[in-house]
Amino acid sequence: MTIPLAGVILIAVAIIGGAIAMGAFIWAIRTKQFKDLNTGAYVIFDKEEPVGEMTDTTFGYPEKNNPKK
Amino acid sequence: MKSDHSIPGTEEAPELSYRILSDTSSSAPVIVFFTSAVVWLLVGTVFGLIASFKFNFPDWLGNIPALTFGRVRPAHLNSVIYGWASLGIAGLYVWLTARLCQTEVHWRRLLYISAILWNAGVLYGVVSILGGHSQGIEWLEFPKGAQTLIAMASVLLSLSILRTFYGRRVKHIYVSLWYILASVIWFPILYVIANLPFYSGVTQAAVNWWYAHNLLTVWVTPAGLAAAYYFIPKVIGRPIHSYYLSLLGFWSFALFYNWNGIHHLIGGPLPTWLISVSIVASVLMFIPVITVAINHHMTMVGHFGKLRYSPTLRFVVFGAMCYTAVSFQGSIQALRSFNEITHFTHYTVGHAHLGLYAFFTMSIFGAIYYIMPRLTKWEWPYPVLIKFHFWLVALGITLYVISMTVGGFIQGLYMNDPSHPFMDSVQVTKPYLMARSVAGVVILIGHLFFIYLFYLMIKRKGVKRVTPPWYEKAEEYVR
Amino acid sequence: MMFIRAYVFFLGVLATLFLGWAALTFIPGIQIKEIKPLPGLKPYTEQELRGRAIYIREGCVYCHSQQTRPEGFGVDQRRGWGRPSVPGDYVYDRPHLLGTMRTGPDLFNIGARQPSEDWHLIHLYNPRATSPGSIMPPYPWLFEEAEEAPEEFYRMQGKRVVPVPEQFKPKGKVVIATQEALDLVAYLLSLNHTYPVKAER
Repeated sequence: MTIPLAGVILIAVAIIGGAIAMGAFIWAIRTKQFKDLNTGAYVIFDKEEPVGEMTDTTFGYPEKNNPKK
Repeated sequence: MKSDHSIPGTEEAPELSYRILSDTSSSAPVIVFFTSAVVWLLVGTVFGLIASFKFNFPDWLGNIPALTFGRVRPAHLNSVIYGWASLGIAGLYVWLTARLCQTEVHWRRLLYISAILWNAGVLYGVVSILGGHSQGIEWLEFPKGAQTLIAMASVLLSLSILRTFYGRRVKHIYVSLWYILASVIWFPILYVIANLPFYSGVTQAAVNWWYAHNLLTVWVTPAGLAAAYYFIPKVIGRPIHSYYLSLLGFWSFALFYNWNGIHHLIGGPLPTWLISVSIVASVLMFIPVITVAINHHMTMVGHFGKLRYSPTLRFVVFGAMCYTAVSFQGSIQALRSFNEITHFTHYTVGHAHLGLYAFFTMSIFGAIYYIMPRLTKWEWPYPVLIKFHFWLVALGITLYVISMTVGGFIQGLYMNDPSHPFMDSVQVTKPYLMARSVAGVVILIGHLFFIYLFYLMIKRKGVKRVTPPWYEKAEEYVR
Repeated sequence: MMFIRAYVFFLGVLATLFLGWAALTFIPGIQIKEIKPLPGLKPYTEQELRGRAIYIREGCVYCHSQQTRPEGFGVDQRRGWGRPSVPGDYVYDRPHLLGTMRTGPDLFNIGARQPSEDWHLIHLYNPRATSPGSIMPPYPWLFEEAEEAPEEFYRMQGKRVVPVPEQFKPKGKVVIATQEALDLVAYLLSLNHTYPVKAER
């Protein structure tokens, strides 16, 4: 049974698309797009809700930290 | 960062004033969305229970056409997907986008219109199905009028979210926001394409299941993941373990998950290459799913004790673990040898509920428990009822999934054994179908606690939330 | 800089959706469009289409499939459910009713397997009258009740009396099929794809 033309087109598109994506990824790394990546994880915290403090203590809170609310 | 909306007293912590502003501005529309969602949860649960009982007692209410299984079952599916799930997603997206963009919600009026249109569409659609006017396509039963209302509503929601994003005050786009932005672009396009009137025959079957699975890809799962990526670190006070993993997880998810849909038609009358492509994509899903699992697990490691203190954390962590479980299960059941047994059986129903309930719905419960106090500035009254809710639905869904998984597998074995007449495959599932009904009752009771709590929260029956004085002034600063 | 990143992101997002759409629906659609209806497949008659609409209305698709699996994958052929179904069998199906559940048996060839109108009428009135242990819903609203009288009496009025077994019908009444019941049965009997697949390609 012959491989349908559709399959060939799809595989070609996938390879070209994958190559473009790979190229974009390498470009992003080289131009340092990812430099500030790890700081991104911290944007959800602020001065009142800093790292290290629970923000939901509906069932009570651990005695050691978070004595407020 | 210069701001023309900072509240006096918060100049030292501008991002703090943005959080108050975003919560205050999102308060009304999100409460509208969540309240609608909760109503549809009740409606959908009742329909689901009726449908389940119909398998145990087929002649019960057998004279009422509107309640025959073939109508109640799609009424259940559509109420929980387009009612509970979609409106819960809308509320979550509006609140979370404003928070992560550190700005107010823009174009709020569009959201009110969206909520009205969405609710109208679902109501019209569900009544139509019960009245015998289904379009006959699974997940797309609603008549064209209802679909148009929902399509318009979703476009309005997307416009508000994108406009809010455009007005963002953050430099960095947090991972949850990637999922939200992708989702609000993907969903309206998907919904419109699937509902075009051009299809028939097996092509329509392909479109049907490309759509139904992609609804999970572009709408349900991004919401659950956005919730997990935000609430887990936010509640325990610890950033996500690895941002690189999040990036890999998002793009592999976007690429592979879109190609899964035809695994619903394995063994069916479609080109073999098409079916194989979906099976491969289903297995490739291991990559994004494992990265998400590692990320969330490593974030939680050492902090599992905090589950004792936070209802949101309980629900969201339960959900995230079930995301991993249901995805692995899905990859396995796409393999031909496994599929041969489980296709066409209740196993698939168990899988669907593991995903849509144990993963997604539990995540939204967690989100609602976190968000509502911050919008109403009120604490949940009677936290012990939250515990009842959690344990009832956790046990209920566990019983549900186990009974349907085991029962469905056995059903498949009997179906594939020609020495047994077909009726044997029906007989053998009966105890499991009864167990599923019991599970449904347990879940309904859990939901009643939740709905009662939600009602009390709206009526502000609990304790006022302790907040700094300038919280009260925030209303004046919201456009 | 970030402005450019946002645009790239949105482009990527759209690309992933459309790639999936192209692969799963557009390209197969083009491939399938070339497929003609099989010579043995007849278009539905008016009555069969009415019956099909009732099948849809009552949601039969949620328990019954209409697709027979390939040889060696499942045991559809050994159950006498028919040869494997192919795209050319479904050309006139709008909407498709392939189904994804077999709470009840596959119906792709039910017209060949169970050609008795009476059986279908009784079964629709109350499935347990023909199939003990069945969990299929009853469809009494597709039928009327009338006073007990000889069948001749009703046949002369053009009405079809359904021979429902004694313990399943209301006391002192007879069950008469409405046009909807007859239409639905006509549709079910039309589900007969035992004609051969002509070798294509």
